[in-house]
Amino acid sequence: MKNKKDNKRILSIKNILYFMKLIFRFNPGLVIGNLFKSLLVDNLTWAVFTLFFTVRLFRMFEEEAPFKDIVGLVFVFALYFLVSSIFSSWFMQYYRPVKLEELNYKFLDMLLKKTLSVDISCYENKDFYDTYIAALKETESRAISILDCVCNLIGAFATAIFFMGVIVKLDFIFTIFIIIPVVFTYISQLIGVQLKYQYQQEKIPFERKMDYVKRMVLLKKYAKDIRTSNLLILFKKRYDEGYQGIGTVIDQYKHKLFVRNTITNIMGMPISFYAGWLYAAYKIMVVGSLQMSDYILIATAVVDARVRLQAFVDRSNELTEHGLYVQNFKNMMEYVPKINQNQEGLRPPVTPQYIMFKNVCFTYDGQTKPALKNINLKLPINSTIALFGHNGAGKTTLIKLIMRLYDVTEGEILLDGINIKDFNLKEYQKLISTVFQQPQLFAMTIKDNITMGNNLERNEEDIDCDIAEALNKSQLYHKISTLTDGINSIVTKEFNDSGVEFSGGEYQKLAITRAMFKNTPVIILDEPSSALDPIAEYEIYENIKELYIGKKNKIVVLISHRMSCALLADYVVFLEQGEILESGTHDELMNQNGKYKMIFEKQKSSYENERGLCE
Amino acid sequence: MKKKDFFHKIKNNIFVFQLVFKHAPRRVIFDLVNSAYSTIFFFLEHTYVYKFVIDCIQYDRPFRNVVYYIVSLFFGWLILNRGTDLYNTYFKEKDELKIVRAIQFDLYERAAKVDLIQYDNKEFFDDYVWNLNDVKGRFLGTYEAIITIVSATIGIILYGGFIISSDIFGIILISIVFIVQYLLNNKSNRINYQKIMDLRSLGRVRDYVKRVFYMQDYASELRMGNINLKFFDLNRKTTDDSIKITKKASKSLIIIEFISTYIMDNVAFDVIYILHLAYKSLILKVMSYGTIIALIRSQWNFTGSLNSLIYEASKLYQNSLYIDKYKEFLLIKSEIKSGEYKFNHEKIESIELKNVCFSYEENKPVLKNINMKINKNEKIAIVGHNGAGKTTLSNIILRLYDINSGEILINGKKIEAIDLESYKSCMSAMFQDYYLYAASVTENISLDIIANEISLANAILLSGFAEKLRMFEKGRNTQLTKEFDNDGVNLSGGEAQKIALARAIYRNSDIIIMDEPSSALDPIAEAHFNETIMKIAKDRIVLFISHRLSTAKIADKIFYVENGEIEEAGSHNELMLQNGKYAKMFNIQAIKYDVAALRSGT
Repeated sequence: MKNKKDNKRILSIKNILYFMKLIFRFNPGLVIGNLFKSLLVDNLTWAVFTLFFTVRLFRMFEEEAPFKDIVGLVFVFALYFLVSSIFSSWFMQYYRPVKLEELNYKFLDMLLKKTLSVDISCYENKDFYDTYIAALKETESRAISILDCVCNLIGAFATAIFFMGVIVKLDFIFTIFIIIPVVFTYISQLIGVQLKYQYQQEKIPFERKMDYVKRMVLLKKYAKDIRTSNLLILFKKRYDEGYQGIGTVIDQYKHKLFVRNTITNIMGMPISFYAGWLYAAYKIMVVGSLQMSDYILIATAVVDARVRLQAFVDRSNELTEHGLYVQNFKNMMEYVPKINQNQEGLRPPVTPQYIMFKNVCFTYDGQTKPALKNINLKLPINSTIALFGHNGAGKTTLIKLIMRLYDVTEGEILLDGINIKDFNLKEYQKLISTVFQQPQLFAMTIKDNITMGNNLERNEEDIDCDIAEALNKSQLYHKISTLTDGINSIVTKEFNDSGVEFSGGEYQKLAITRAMFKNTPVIILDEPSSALDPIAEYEIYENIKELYIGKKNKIVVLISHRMSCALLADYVVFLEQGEILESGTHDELMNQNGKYKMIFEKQKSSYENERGLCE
Repeated sequence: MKKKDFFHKIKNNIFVFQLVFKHAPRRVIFDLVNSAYSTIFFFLEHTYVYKFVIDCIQYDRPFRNVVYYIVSLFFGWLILNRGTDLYNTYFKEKDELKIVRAIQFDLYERAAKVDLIQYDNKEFFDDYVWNLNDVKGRFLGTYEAIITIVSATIGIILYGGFIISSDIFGIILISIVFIVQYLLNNKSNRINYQKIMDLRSLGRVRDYVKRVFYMQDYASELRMGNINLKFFDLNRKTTDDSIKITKKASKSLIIIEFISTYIMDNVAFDVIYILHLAYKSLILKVMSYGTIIALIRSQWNFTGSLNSLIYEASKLYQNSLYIDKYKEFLLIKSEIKSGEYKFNHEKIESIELKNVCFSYEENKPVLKNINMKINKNEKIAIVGHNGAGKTTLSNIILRLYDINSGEILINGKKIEAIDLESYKSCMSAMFQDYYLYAASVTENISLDIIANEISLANAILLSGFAEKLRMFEKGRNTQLTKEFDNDGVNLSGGEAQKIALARAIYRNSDIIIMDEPSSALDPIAEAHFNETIMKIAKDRIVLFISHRLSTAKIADKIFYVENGEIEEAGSHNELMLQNGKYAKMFNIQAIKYDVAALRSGT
């Protein structure tokens, strides 16, 4: 048990060193300046003032020195303070805040880059996700706290040693008054950290409930539900579950914590002060071996040494806590993704001839039931493949495997006969453009939202031309050309009231524009029209048909609920519970009289009768 | 004006104090007693002790006196230390939770009633988020500032009294320094406040960047393109801007800090005051050594108390701003006012819209001259392009927004004249963007803490969720989402939509409004859905918005909306015969099922 705790402490120290190295690498000036300020300016100035100045002054009183000597002494110190004040004003108000911004930048930059390299499956892992978000959210405040903490720790320690040295020189006995309480406090706090940590840990799930409610009430998207139901009462209940939960945790721990604190405090605090002062007074008044000015020296030094040592202990406990955080940070930074985002490898062909699934199985992390089982499928060039199936049949999973957002659990996916894992990942992904089921817009210009940072090396005019063409095809040109800033308008009102907002359908159209702009040999459309109205949908499909279907050396994968899409496809794959239930051309499947036909007929019939009517 | 400001500040802070006292009187009493006791004790322990002991030495008093004094200190300490810890471990946290809960609940209640239209107002939203996000820090911070001010004031009286009793000059010097420090502090606060305000919008950009990277929603897009590079640039640019702002503020701040730490502290006290004391003691011989050291220490502590008073007082101003926002928020008047008339077991028979116009922003009409009448037992479909105003139409019928002109009549009564709660209880809605909550299946359907068992069973059955429910071990008590429960279930889009449908059915209300109810459903589920609509439409009004015309077809009456106006209205057959825009839209959808037509390239 003891061993384990020691290890934890060592681990924590290692973590802090790791983090400090990082800060130093990012910003050596800040680290040195901060240390200098803590060590020399904050702590040393105080020591100089109390020990040299005050004590010296009183010695001069005792010796009844001439007044002009006292004036001289005062001015020497005034000069010293002048220098330290100039430094600390400059450092605190200019150098430090500027360097902190820089430090934050570097940490964020590093974390963002790391995020991108992390497997997408990590987002489904709650533990990982929590650690990650903690790392991302807290880095700024943690970095500066850790730096200050380390500097204060060193400063406090050095000053404490200095004060102790001064008193011990007068009388060795004083060591006892300082060391014993500190040792005692240190040991009991060591034990206490564990207790406190447990205590905090147990409160977390309850705090999360309360936070959840805050989030729900805060966001606009839940506002309508709250206004049309009694949801608020439900939220309050959830909040109270958290509230009462914390109360229970407090009741569980309060006795233990109080007893522990009583022991620590009584043993820790008063011995050094009161006993130390009494002893000093005794030495002066009864034994007569010390002078009056020594009393001032001892009385202040005892308190200060004690205060600094306590600060040292507090800071080191604080660091242990920080160490736990750094562990999260480190886990995140040292996570080795299953799919290396910078994976080198073969250059994929410019115009791939086919993509083939061979006995592919896939299971999501932490799940036992496979999402895809034994998929054998060939997607040849110049063809459109439509994937159908109920919600949750595995359609989206299948395309994610093609994109290499996940890697297969079993089997392999081949591109022109080569396992897709063997290609340079970024180059491979450049072959594919995808319209996601829920495309996301970013709070940037429309142009950025379409180019997505691709084709940066091309000249602006060409890019604008291509964008215009893509917008035309996706029917968005009209809307965007009416905007004052055209394609340079900012999307969403995130930062600016004049930002452009898009409706669901326009959202989708913009995503399609993206794909058209990227102009890749493999195109994946995941429910591209689910939010579109019939005419817009029709237009989009007409476009897709014209642009992609069956020509121009493309492989097109299409997912849709709407069976009418099947008629656009050369080949239809019907998935159920992760397996291919039926596959073939539309006509073949219709002749098979299977489930596909049944569903197709059902959807079709809801239109059929009426068509007769209007013709 | 200034005076008024001052009183306003004080009033706001007193308001917080009262609020804390109301919810946790124990906390207030403890804090007041504690701050008085500890300030006095600290004076005896770290200031007066020097005078006592040194005087004993200087005037050869017995050692016994020193022993008595220090032993009493020990007991004084024991009471203080254990008393504080007792409160802290047993009550402090609970008291805080209680206070925060009370304040947050007030805010939540208010938030739930704020007009939806306010959410589109960025300024409001910023304030709102600010308000809700940091209740704990702000309120308790304000309260603690007040307590610190009390402590500091006691300290000032105590140390000031001690200084005056021995030496008048000290108090004059300290007062001058205090005034200058106060002015300097005000100045630097103003600069810092401006700086924080300037940095706030940049902070939002950073938060956005972080959010994009940590949310799963964006993960795929980020990986498939190079948009990430833009975000890296954004981070750089934000940092450069922040540095600019910081640098701009730093010049004056450096000077202020220098004056306040060097001139007003080192020079004033360590030089002038000490020389004055030395003069009194050595040349005039009117002061004991013990008094000198106690005076030096008193001056430190007096200055310390003054500084903390200034510091906390300056926070009072910022806190007062916060309290203003909080109060403002609680006082936001709903534009949507409840009427008097209550439906008592009265069924809603009709909804009539007469010349209704509505816009979210001025001069951008979303609905123009809408006229429609809906009767009980009718299934109404509203169809049209995206952005035609369909969802807005449902929002105004739900009275989530109030119309600009025209009138909405419910059972012939103006919608404004009807009691809001009573009206809302007659309505249920299924929104286009529905969300699942971290709660049980039952709670997710009832959206309440209680649930009517029969309605619930009926809703589950009709919505088609029953099948899925059978797969859950804990049945209706199964938690949705993994937010709090690792055994919680994440539903797919279609399943979630069934829950949303069940919500609408559960309430058994006179009017059901559904916005794109079938968009995430697969064909079989959609067919099932249409049957459900037929079943539930009996005895009530069902209004659904759809661009899936196969669903619209089952409606008794269809309104085709374009650019905020009703272009066509009638039953499916009527509209098909009319051969207008609706017919065109329908044919386009239907044609896709016509193999021959499609292949010939129509």
